[in-house]
Amino acid sequence: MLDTPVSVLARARPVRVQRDTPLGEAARLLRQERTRCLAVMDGDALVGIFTDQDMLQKCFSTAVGGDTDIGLVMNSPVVTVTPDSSIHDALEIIDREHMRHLPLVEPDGTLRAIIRARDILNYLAESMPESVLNQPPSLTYPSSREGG
Amino acid sequence: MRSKRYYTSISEEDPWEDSDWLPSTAEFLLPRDRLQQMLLETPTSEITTDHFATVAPDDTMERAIYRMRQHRVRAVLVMRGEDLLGILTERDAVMHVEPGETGADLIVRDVMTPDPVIIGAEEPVGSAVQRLAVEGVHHLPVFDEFELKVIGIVEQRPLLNRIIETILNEEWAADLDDDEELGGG
Repeated sequence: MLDTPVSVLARARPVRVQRDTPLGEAARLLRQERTRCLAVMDGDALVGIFTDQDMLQKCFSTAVGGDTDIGLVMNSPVVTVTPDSSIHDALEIIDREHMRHLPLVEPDGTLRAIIRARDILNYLAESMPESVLNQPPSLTYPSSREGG
Repeated sequence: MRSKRYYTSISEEDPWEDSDWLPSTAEFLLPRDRLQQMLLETPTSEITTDHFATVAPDDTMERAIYRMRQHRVRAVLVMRGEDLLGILTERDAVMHVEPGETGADLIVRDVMTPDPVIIGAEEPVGSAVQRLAVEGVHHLPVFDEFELKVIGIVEQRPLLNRIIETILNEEWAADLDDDEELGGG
C-alpha cells in the first residue's frame, strides 16, 4: 500500500500560470478552477507553487494588489516528487517540509500533476477494510440545547 | 487487548508452521494492519487540536483573517459563547476577498459555512478520515458528547502525522513489509 508509486494519485491536470501573472488573475483561477494550488511556470519549467495559504498569509493587505506578479509571492524553490517516488516518500516529504501540495515532475522536468496531502488521505481511506468504513452515521450538532 | 508480543516467538522452529492459525489482534502486525488498528481504536480526541481559534459571527473578515494568520491555522470556528454557529476556512477567504483588499467590508456570518459537519470526540480516527473524504471538507469541529461542547478541531496535519507515525516509526516495519506477500496462510 505504501510502496505504491505516488503517480497513481495523479488525477487532475495542474492549473499553470506564468510567473508574471497578476495576482488578480491568479485569484480568479483559484476560484474558477476550484483548485487550491497553482503551478507557477517560467516557460515550460516549474519554478514554484502558489496556494490558498499563500493568498491568506501574504495577499490580503494593502502591501500587494491585484496587479502584483505572482512570482513575487509564490513558494520557490519547491520540493517535488518523481513518478517512481512511493506514497511513503511523499508522506515523509509532506511531514518534513510541511507542504500540502507536492508537484510530480517527470525525469525530463515536465510537470505532470500536483499531489495533494488530501489525495493520500483519501487513498488510505479507500484502502481501509469495511469495518473501518462502516461506522455509525454522522453525529449532528444539537441545534438547540437545554438551557442553551 | 494487546496481551502478547507474538513476533518475539518467531524463530526457525515456527510453532505455527503447519497451522492455519494466525495472530490477529496481536502486535505482530504489518504497517497496513497497524494503521487499520489505529484508525479503529484511537479516539478522535487524541488527534484533536485543542488550541483552536474562534471568531464571532458579527466580526469582519479582516479580523478572521488576522486570527488565522496569528494562530497559523487554516480555519476558525464561528462561536457565540459555547455554541458553534459555523466554520470559516482559508478557502472561504480566498473565495470572497480580492488580493490587495483586507476584508474589512465583509462580515463573517455572510461568508462562513453554517452548521458544519462535526465529529464526536470518542469516535475513532477512521471515522474522521472517512468523514473528511465523504463530506469533502478539510476541517472537522470536535464535539464532546459528555460535556456537550466543542473541544477542538481535526486538521489534516496532526491526522497525517499520526498516520505517518503509525506507519513509519517502527524499526522492524520495513523488514516485515517485505514479507507481506507471504501472509494469508
